[in-house]
Amino acid sequence: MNEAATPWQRAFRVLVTVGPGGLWLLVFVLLPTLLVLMASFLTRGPYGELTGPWGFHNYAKILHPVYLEAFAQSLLVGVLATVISALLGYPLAFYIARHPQRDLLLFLLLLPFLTNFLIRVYAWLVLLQREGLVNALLGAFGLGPLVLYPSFFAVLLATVYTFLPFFVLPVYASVERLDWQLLEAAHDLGARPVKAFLHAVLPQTYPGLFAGSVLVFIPAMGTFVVADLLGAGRVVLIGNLIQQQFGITRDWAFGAALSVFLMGFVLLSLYLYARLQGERGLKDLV
Amino acid sequence: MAGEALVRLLGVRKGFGGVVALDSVDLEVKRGEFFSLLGPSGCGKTTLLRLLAGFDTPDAGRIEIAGRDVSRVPPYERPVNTVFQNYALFPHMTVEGNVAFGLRMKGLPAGEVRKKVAWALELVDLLGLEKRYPRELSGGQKQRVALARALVLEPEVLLLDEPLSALDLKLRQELRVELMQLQRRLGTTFIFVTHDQEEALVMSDRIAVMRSGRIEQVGLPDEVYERPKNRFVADFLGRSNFLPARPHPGGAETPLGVLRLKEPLSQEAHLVIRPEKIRLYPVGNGAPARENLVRAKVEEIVYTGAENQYYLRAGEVRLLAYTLNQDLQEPGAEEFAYGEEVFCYLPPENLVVVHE
Repeated sequence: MNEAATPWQRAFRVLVTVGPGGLWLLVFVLLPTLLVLMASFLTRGPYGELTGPWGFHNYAKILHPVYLEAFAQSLLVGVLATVISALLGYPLAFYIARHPQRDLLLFLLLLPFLTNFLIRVYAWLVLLQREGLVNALLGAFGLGPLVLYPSFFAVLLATVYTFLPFFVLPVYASVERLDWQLLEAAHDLGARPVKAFLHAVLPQTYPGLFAGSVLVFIPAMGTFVVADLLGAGRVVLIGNLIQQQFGITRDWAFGAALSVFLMGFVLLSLYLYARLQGERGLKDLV
Repeated sequence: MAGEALVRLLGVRKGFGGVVALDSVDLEVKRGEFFSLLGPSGCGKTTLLRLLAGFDTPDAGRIEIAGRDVSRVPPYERPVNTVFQNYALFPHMTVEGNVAFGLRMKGLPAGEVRKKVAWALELVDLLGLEKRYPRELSGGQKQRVALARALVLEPEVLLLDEPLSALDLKLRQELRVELMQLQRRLGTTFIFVTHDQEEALVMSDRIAVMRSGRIEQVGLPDEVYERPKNRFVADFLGRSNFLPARPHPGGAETPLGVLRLKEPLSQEAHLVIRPEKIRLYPVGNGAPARENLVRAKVEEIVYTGAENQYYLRAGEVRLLAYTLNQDLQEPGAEEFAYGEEVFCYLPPENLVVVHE
């Protein structure tokens, strides 16, 4: 920086560097969020428009058992999808990171993204339906047929399938940076394999585990396409409710309230999760 | 009990994908010794240390520690601990946590852990830093934590893998002395890997000089320095003058003429003489009429503070000679100038015969 910069010049520099990003956040994040927040306090008009009066009535409606149940379902899908992704994705990340052909494996991991998301969910439908591949296979062994579709199981399966790569990638990044000598150090100091892993390897992957859980939990909580197609009305998640309010029911005000409620819940659970990890976790979160 | 062999290697071999890292190594390290493995990178010294620690297993041969065959024993069951080259401290644990780790793995009660940790931290002069994390420590402090972490388990053998190489010169020299004092105080057997010949000479009770997976010579520091077994050892430890030599009735026939030796030469070999063993005399001043006197010309002078290094030429032969930078008033103290002719005296007792 040259010393003769006038206040105007300095303001200009700040604007040029921070400006574009700030503008982006303002237009595409802050303003929409505020609009949704505002809408959540309004009322549905006779033609589906937003009118007065203002109030908390939309939030009061959420406490109705139907909505709470959808919410509990979402939470269950979110938590289960995260846990299953962790159980599958954590070892998978290690396998890929230590494999001599890891570039190929990473490509394979990301390959599904080259196909449209909807088509992939429909593919599950084809596999799981009554005359689908899975039941045909079971039938060959004289088993089944099982009602795999529509079911909670199908929704969970496709959710895990969809978001698993988002868990694997951050863990993979942690594993790649892993200092394996710490494992040797732990062995050297008398730690048997399991304890050595728990003390020397696992803590090094906490950042990846944390990022992976967040990246699976948030979208899994809010998804509606999977539940729509594979739940076929039997599995109603909060995402489906929100979509209904903005679509069929045209109650934008209530839809907005549901969205804000979901957002608040996710933020709160993130905060609590980060708290669990102590100071470091909170810093990572911010 | 000194003199007893604590670590014994018998015909130990280790290869990595067709490359031989250790080729049939036999070695004995005595209890209480400060033993150094010295050699250039890739000589197998680190492989040897890893075999002792148990991180790798030998392809053939036996490794015994305290009379027990540990060749196939995993590291967590061996009575050895390691100080790693880049310390390998657990970044998510405090100094205290790092030092206590091994004790907790042993399942010691909390009170005893606390007592031993305090003892180890005092040993390495780190009291007061218990709550710090490794990232908040300097290189030298990390080194001390690594030492304390290993020593707190009171191992039979402490393995040190170039522990000083990451530190700057001054700190390295300080820590050398501290390590020596620590070793003497505890009486623990140290096996110390280094590529720094000065470090090995200064610190060790005995040194094994290694090359390409083999041990070239084992001996006391002055033995390997003054009586190198071959040209490699002579060349690797400090600087040397090498002269090709053939048997001659008067001693050895060399490019510098016939030189008298302490013992007669039986076959073609090389003579080694250390630069500080060559004595220089002014030509004009009536050179002492002795044998093994060579006339040479000063080509270059390097002043290092404590000594002057003279690069000399006698005919086709280049010689390197060091003289102590003494007070010129002292008798025998001489200084020479560029281009000056000097007499070099090569004492017979310092001409060491080596074979390839």
